[in-house]
Amino acid sequence: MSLKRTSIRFRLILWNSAVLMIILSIVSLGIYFLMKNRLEIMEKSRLDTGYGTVEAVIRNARGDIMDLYHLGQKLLFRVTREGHLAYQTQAWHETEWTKRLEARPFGTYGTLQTAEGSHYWIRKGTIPEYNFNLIYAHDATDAAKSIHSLILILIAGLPGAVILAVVGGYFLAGRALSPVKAITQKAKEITAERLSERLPIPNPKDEIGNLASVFNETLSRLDGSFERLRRFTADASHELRTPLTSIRSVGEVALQRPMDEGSYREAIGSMLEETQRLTRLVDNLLILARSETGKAKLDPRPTNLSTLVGTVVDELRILAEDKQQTLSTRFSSPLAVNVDGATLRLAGSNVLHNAIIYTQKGGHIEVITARTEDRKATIDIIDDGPGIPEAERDKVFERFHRVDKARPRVEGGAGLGLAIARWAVEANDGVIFFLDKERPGTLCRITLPVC
Amino acid sequence: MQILVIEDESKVAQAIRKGLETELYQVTVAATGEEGYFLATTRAFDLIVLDLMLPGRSGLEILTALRQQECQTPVLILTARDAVEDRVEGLDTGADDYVVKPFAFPELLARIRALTRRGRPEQALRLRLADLELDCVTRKVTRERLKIDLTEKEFELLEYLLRHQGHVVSREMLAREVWKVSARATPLDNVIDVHITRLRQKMDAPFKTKLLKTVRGVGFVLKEGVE
Repeated sequence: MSLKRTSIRFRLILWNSAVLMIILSIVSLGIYFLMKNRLEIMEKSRLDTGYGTVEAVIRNARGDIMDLYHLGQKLLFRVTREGHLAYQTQAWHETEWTKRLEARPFGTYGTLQTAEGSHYWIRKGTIPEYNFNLIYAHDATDAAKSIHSLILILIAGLPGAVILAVVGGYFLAGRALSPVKAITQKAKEITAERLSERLPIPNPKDEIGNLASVFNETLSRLDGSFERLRRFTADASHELRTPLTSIRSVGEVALQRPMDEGSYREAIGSMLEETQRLTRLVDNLLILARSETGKAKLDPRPTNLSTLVGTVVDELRILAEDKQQTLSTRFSSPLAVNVDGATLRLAGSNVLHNAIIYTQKGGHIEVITARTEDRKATIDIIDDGPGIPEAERDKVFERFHRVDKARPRVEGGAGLGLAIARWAVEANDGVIFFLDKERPGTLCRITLPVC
Repeated sequence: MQILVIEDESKVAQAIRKGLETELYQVTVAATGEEGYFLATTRAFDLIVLDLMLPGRSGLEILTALRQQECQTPVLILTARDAVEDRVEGLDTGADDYVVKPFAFPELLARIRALTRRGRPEQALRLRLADLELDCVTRKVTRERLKIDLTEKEFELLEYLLRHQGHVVSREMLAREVWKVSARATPLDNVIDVHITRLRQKMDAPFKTKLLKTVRGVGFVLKEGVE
């Protein structure tokens, strides 16, 4: 079983227990060595004290070993002179293993363990003034037993602690993960139709709460785009329905009763006009749909922006002339930008076309290209028409948006022109927006990075 | 002239048949790809009009098979998808031209004319209709021997109309051929209308017979006499 395939809860417990086991092992070893060391130092100092006492008594008595008798017979020591026994305590005499000591070579200190399980520490030395050899033994059985039981406690305690950790970890992980369970449950219920629902946020400050709020933000954005899509579909159907209605009624009325050829031609022509409007609408919708899926292919190449704008102005100039408007230009040249010419032309002509349509007869329109200090190229399209209310300035770029709903549809105007213009500018890494203008009118600015 | 139309949508197929027969072409309609492929390989046609979206065998498959059979008949494809890739795919497969649905019928006619006369040089330097004359070299336009001053755009517009005289020309055709704008969604229709108005004022208004006519809902036509 691979670790990655198991639940988070199981993995948490596993890691938790493993880490605990390592820590406990290290601590246990530490305790063991510390205690062992302490006990050994203690026992050694007792041994030294005992040995020192015997030595002091011998020295005080100036070599008279009979004074040793006062030390009692429970102590374990023996004094020899030139290989011959000079004195030994009762306990030494009665203890079995002491007989074997002579045969065992060892330095100043030594230890010994008897078959019965007793531990002894032994110190050997000479008192040269009196030519004595002294062996002193100290019973350290209690200390050895303490260390032994310590080992037992530590070894037995480790699995117990791990079991506790597993059980505790199981409950703790369950507790910690319970909001995740709740979020999962809720997330399952949220579908495209119920995007307004939000995930529960148990504690906005912790990681899971954070995750849930991030999810909720994503849901909000999705909700927004679904809402826009719904509105778009509704608007699009409405816009498509209008020419369809015209076609249908014109056709039905024409067939109501026999007419002369001219009237039939008139009716068919009128139907065809509506068909063209329908076609144009569908074409525009396709452009927008493609822009949204990012499927539109652009071919950016270095272009002189002033030349490109000039072409657009020349193309549409005749419309301004037709309305007795003056269309003046001020071009900064050359102005090199890296753009897809066809798309940017679309943006330019849509904005300029709007300016011409919405500006009154005899009005004035000015198109200016310039280079700003922060390495941007700008196109300003300025008119002295009625202008756009400040609150509407962002909305006009939305699809099907018309500032004045009551206003009759102008040629080709389904409210898609500026939406397309915005897409076309943004696809070329530019920005399009309306600026404040002192005098009445509109100032639309397109900025593009200079290459 | 024999034309094979492979189109499954019967209304569209019948409209194309009627329209082409009015222009004195002989038309055979195939409603499925298989039938169309069979006809194209067994009979000789001067042109094949092929819909790309066919049930069963798609238009592109048929085109590929035809070209593999060394069938050299010009093919004009009809496609509802005007994405550049789709068009390029069609042309790469061996189509000679394409028209995007919904198409203007005058445009289909113009393309069929262009395809069926392909190979024959048809670049007259002097165009004439009634008393109207246009010289492509000196760029002079006269009517009743009177010189008419036209702007550059008006000249190009008139030249295009004269080259298609007697045939209706749609705004889409003018946008693409005269204004060289290939995108379908540009606000050029108004521009074209204004230019037509001005052209008419210069070359028609002062004279008794009117040559430039508007066909409502379709486009414009340059021809003598009334409808």
